[in-house]
Amino acid sequence: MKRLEIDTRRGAGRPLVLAVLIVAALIVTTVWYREGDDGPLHAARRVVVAVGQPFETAGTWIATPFRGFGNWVGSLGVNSADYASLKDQNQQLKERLAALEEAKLENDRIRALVDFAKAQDVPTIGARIIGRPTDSRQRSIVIDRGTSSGVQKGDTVVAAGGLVGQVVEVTPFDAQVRLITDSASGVAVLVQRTRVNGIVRGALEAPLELDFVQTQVAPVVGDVLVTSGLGGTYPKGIVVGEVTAVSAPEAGLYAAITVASRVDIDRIEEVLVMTGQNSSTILPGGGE
Amino acid sequence: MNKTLSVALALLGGYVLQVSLAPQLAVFGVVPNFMFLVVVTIALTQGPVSGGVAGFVGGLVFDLLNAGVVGPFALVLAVVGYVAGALNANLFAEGWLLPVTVVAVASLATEVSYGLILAVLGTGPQFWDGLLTVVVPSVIYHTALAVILYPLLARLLRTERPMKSFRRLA
Repeated sequence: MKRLEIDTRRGAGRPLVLAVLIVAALIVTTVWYREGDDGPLHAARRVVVAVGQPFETAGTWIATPFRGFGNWVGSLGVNSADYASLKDQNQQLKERLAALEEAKLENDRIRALVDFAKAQDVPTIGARIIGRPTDSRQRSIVIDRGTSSGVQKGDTVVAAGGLVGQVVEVTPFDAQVRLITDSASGVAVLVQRTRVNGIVRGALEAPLELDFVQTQVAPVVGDVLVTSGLGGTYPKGIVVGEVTAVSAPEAGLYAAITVASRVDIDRIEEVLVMTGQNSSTILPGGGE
Repeated sequence: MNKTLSVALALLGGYVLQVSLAPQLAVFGVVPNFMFLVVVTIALTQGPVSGGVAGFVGGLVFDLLNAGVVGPFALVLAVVGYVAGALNANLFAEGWLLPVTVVAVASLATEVSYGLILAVLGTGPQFWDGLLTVVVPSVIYHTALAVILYPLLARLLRTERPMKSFRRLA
C-alpha cells in the first residue's frame, strides 16, 4: 500500500514538461531545415559522429574475428574433404586459417577496387568502412577518410561493383556516407541499352526501386542501369545495378521496377571516394 | 549515486552501445536501438519527467548519429519516455512481465510514430513499406533485448529500492 502511494506521487507528471519537450523538438527540426552547413546542429552532428568514431572502430575490430571465422566456415562448406581433414587440427590452426582466409578475401576485394579505380577518370582515394548503419530506416555508413585526406561533402563513393553512395557529412578524419539504399537517396540513371531516364531510390522491401519509367519504355530483367549525370549529384556512367523484376500496374502510368546493386552494400569493407568531381549537390533528407 | 548523474551515464552507455554494438547486431537490416531501451528503462525507474527529458536528449543524439533530419526521434522518444514513465508510476506491479510488455508497446509506438513522421517529412520510406520489414522485427528484437538489458540497467538506476532479483525488480 505504501509503495502504491509512492508510485502514484512519482507518477504525477508535469504535462508542462512534456509540452516544452515537444515544442523544443519541433524547434530543433525547424532549425535543422533552415540553418546552413555551419549551423549549430550540423556542427553538433560532426562532433557526435567524430566522438563515436573510436567506439565504432572498436566495435568493428571486435566483430572482425567473428566475421573471419564465418568466412572460414563458409569456405569449408565448399569442400567437404578439406573440412574432414581440418576437423582434426587444433584451435590455433583454425584461427590461423581464418586469419589467412580473411587476408585473401581482403586482397581480392582491394585488387578489384584498384582495377575499378584505374578505370575512372577522376582522382579517387581508398577508404575503410568503420561504421555501419545505426538505424533500421536510415542507411548511412562512416568511412575512415575526411577532409585531411581530401574528402569533401558531396563526393561520390563507389566500390568495385559500382555506386555506393554520397558523402553527406565530413570531419577531418572521417566522413558519413548516405547509401543509395537509403530511402532519402535518389540517383538519376539511364537504362544502358535504351537510354531511358529514371530515378533509382532506396526501399525497405526491395534493395532498390527504379521510378518514373513509363510502362511503354520499361526495361527488361537484366538491363544495366548507369548514372545519367543529370542534376550534378553523381558523375555520369557509374554502374548502379541491374533490373531484377518489372511489372506494369493496370492503372498506373509508371512500371514497378526492382533493381539489385552489383555491390553487396551490407558487406563491403572498403570503398573508393571520387574526390575530384566537385559535386555541390546533396540529395534531400539531410536538411540541405 | 546522484540521480541526474546516473541518468546521464545511462544515456552515455546507450550512445556507446549504439555506435559500437548495434551495427554488429543488425539482423536482416534491422538495427537494435539501445538508446530507446535505455530511455524506456530510465522512464520505468525514474518516472515521467526523467523519462521525457532523457527521451529528448537520447533521441536528439540518435538523430545526430544518422544522416537524416535532426529532431523527429527526439520528439518521438520524449513523448514515449514521458508516457512510459507515467504508465509505470501508476500501474506498476511485481514481476517481470509488465516492464517487458511496456517495452514492447513502447517499441511499437516508437517505430510507428517515427516511421510516420519520416514519411510525412519526405525523408524516410513510405509508411506502409516498413510495417513488416522494420516495425514488427524491431518490436520483437527490442522486447528480447529488454529481457537482458532491463534488469541490469534498472538495478543501477533504481537506487531507492535495492533489488535482489529480476522478480523483485519492479
